[in-house]
Amino acid sequence: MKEGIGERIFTLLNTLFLAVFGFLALYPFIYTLSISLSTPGEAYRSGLHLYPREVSFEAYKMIIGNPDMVFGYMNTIFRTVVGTVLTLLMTCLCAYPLSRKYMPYRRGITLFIVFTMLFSGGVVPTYLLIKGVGLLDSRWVYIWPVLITGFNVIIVKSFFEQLPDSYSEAAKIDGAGEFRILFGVYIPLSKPVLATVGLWTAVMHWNMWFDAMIYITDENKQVMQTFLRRIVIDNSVELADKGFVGGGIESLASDTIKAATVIITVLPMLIVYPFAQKYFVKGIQLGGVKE
Amino acid sequence: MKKLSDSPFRKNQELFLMLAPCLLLVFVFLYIPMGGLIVAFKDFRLSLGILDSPWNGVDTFKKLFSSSDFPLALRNTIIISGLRLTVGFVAPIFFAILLNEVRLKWFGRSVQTLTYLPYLFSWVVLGGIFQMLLAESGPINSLLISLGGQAIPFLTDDVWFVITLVVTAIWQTAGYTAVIYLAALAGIDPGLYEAADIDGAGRFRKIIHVTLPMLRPTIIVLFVLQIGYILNAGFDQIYNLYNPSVYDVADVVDTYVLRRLLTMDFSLATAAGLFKSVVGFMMVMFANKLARRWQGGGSGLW
Amino acid sequence: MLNRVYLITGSLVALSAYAIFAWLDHRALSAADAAAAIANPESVDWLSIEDDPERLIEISWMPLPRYPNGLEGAYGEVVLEKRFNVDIQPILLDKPGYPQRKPLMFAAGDIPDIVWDGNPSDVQKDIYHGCIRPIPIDLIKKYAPNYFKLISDFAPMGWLYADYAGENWGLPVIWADGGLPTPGVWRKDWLEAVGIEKEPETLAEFEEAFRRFAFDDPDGNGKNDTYGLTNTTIGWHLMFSEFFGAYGVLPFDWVERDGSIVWGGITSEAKEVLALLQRWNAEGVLDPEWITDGLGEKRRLKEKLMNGRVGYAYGMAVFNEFDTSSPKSLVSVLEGLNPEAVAVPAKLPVGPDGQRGVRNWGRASNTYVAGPGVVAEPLKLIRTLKMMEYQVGNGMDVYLESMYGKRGTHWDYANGNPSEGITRLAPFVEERSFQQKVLSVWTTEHPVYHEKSHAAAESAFNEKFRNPKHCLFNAIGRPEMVPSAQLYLEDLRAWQMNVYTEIIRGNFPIEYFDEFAEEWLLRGGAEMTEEAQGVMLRKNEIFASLGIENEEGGQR
Repeated sequence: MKEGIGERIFTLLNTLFLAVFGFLALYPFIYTLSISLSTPGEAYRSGLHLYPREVSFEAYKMIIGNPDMVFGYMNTIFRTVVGTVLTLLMTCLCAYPLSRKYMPYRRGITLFIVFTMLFSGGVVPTYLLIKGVGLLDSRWVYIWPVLITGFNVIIVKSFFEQLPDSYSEAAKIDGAGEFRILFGVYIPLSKPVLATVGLWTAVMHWNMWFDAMIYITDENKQVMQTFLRRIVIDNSVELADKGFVGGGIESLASDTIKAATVIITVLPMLIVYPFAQKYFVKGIQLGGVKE
Repeated sequence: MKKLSDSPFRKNQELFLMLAPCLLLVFVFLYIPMGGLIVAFKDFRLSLGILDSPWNGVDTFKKLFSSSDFPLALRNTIIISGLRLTVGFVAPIFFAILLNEVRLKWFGRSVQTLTYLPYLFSWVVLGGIFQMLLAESGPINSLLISLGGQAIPFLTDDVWFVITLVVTAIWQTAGYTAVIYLAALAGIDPGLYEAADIDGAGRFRKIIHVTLPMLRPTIIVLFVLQIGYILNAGFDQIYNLYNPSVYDVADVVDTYVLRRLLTMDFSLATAAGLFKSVVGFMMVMFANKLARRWQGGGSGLW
Repeated sequence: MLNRVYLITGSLVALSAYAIFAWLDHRALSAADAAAAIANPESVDWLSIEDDPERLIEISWMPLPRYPNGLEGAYGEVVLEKRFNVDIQPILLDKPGYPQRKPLMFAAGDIPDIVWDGNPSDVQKDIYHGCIRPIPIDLIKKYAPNYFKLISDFAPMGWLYADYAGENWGLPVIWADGGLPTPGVWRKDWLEAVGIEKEPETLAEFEEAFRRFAFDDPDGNGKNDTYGLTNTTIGWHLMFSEFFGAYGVLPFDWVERDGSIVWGGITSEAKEVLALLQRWNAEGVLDPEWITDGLGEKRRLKEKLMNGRVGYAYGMAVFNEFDTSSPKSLVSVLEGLNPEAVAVPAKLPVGPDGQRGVRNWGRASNTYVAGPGVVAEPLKLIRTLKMMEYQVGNGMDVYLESMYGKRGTHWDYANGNPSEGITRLAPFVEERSFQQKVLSVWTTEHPVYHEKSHAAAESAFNEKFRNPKHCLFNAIGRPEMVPSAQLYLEDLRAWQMNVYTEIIRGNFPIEYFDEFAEEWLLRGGAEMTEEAQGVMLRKNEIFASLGIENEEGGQR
């Protein structure tokens, strides 16, 4: 098909804009990667740090030799994988009934869930609850409390609502129950939105540290982000400000180690992305169904 | 007299069975701790517990709102958050549409992957990087000067600081948020575009008449959900880019509360949270009503 | 119909959630009750209690948080356990989590017997929340006389930090470096390049050097790309401290003027310094980026000195930065980046009235407090006191063992020579194994032993560049010592930082300072100032009871 001159200019500008945006988004990664591969002295040189001028793998060696990182990695992978799978399952189970127009009390129940997006009891009551249900110092504390979020339920629910009723009606005529309609028809059709919610959930789990910080004492159950935070913000001037004087103000970790830790934390999520991506890029069609 | 088998529960027992575990989880992990919200109206002592601490009425709220700094913090929050909810909300939609127009598959995919990257970095790390990039002698200002312009005080001028906040927030989240719109776009029947082609529609008309209407439900849902966070101006970002010269515009509700929150003042933290929740909830209810009207008597979010 | 269903179900849900929460809350409390046996603190007649050495006593102990995180069973802990027939259960939290975690544990009824508190305000909060119990001074004197003397001699302010309503609630610990000032650093090659031979000493000489750095092209690259100095806004306690010190004032602290306490930030001396800084900024002597250089920690500051943007940097003259054997030190990195660059420690500038100094926290730093468990079992506290006494009252060897572990196994003198300082032995060189296998419930530093354990090079460095007499201290220890600081201090501080920054940048005229000073008092400053007088009286009382008359010379 022939394109008009206006459309060609648009294509050009669009490509250019996206390329620039892409580069800008990449920059912190390049910067951090470059610092992490520099010698400690080189890291201090001012400039853009687009590439390391003197390469050194020292920082990576130090981190990989640290047993904390291994445990941190395992626990983070555990919570990300298990948390994402369970969240997707439970979110679908929750969203499907609420998306049915014939479901009684659906508005009230939806509001019941949306309410929790805005109101929360706060950190002390939640701690008492977590202690009460025996999740203190357990890896499952990473999973259960964040399994259902109003945000995910509403997103999936509204996607289900947009799917034509003809699918479920056809399945019902074939004698399928609600469970079979959900798992056999709706979930396969909802891959784009499930990939999105799955990706968001995975990233949330990957980046989460607050729960680990307040519920977990056992070092073997800590997540990687805890170690990252300890390395990146430990011993800052600010801590001295808050009364952490004594015990040495001098930072234990050099900039290269900080940067290498950041890279090691970010990298896996970057690698995983294309796998999720294929479900929401254009090209996946709704199975050629016509309304 | 209705028959038992007609009861809505019996008729839809499968649906209720699906819902039950979810509702139980929500009840246990999210509703039970809400009992602790009463601490906002108490003079909380750790050794007495929440229930047995003495009531102090609305004293905590008085303490929260009493300072001359509070109205300013509220104003700043609404400005920053308002910009994020408008400009910041439109940006990922715009971005998703642009991506959708890319014909080179590998290019689209790569740009998408790259733009999702910044979300993986925390502001503790990004703060240092932006300070370097945006400094008076930093690379961006050097570029401006070599192009014959003037250095811009991105981080120390009040107005520029707000602009920097909004732009960097978009930079960080646009690629990540755009995913949901891309997912919605993936569901568009190509037949619709073909039909538009036959009508002789150009690219822009197709965007306006096919792409945007398909995105509308997603846009509405996200907007209603996000307006609830009107009093959250993005604490982490502000905290890590803050400097005293922008105190006038950068002191938001969250930084204000943090300042008043000496280590153990949970009453104050809870009161502040409750205030934010109530305002957010009212906004969401209102937005949902609006959405239903806009959808022409549709159901809104619920 | 529908609405009624919602109403009933909603209320039922709310009620049951609340009921379950109430049960959880009470359960947490009863755990605390059991530990405390709700003993009335007065009911313990501390001095009449006899220790029974045969009895094994369990002590839960939450020490200074650190990283890498500690582990139970470290060498230091085991030594104490054997010697004092105690079973120490360390509760080791990491630094970033400590402030959040501690109150949560307390709320859930888990209050350890011995708890580390970072700030005096933490001690006050613990008392307010009813989580800790008093520790009578006489009891400390009875079981830990040397410890008592050490604190009274070297950090008497610690007793003020632990004081509430005339009673003592804590065991202060010492941070030895809190009594040493930290001057700035010059680029010596720059001083030479601009023709300054005598190292600047007075404020006027400092200014001259800064000006030449800014305008005389010290790096000889023909570009006008250098500045005299930069600074920070991230920590109020660091901001231009040596220049305020040259006028004898601490802008964010309580200072003494004619026998009463005033806020340093509203004094006329502070105004003079601001006028000076405003001028430096206007002339282009002060790097305009000083406002944001704090973001990302001290890094930018070091970077700017190393890369030749500024020729002077505050607060970096510590031995670590001048230790040629450490690859991370300022001198080593500088050597690698630019072999011609030479960094030397600066002197603190002498102001127009001959004053000089830089802010410091003081040696009194943190405080250990006692949870309710010590009332239920008084021997817990008594054994703790005996352990503290043991650590500081038995000579240098015992002290070093408490800090570094066993000599010959965990550490030794470098090359077997005490004058070369302490060096950790493999595998304890690594911070992680040192923290986890050696160090345990670390208590206090001993300033004399601490100094003695330094390598001769470090001692010489401190002797030469860090004169304890040049420390400036808050007259009552910390800004937050007054009760109404809770309400006003943080707001006022943020506002003051803003006003100072804007005055220095020239966005506000210097005359605005007077308006600021007046309004500062109206916004709660007056109330704080009034309370500060009372705190000062209490400090004097405590110091008098300890027999301290002259508190000059870093003895805080």
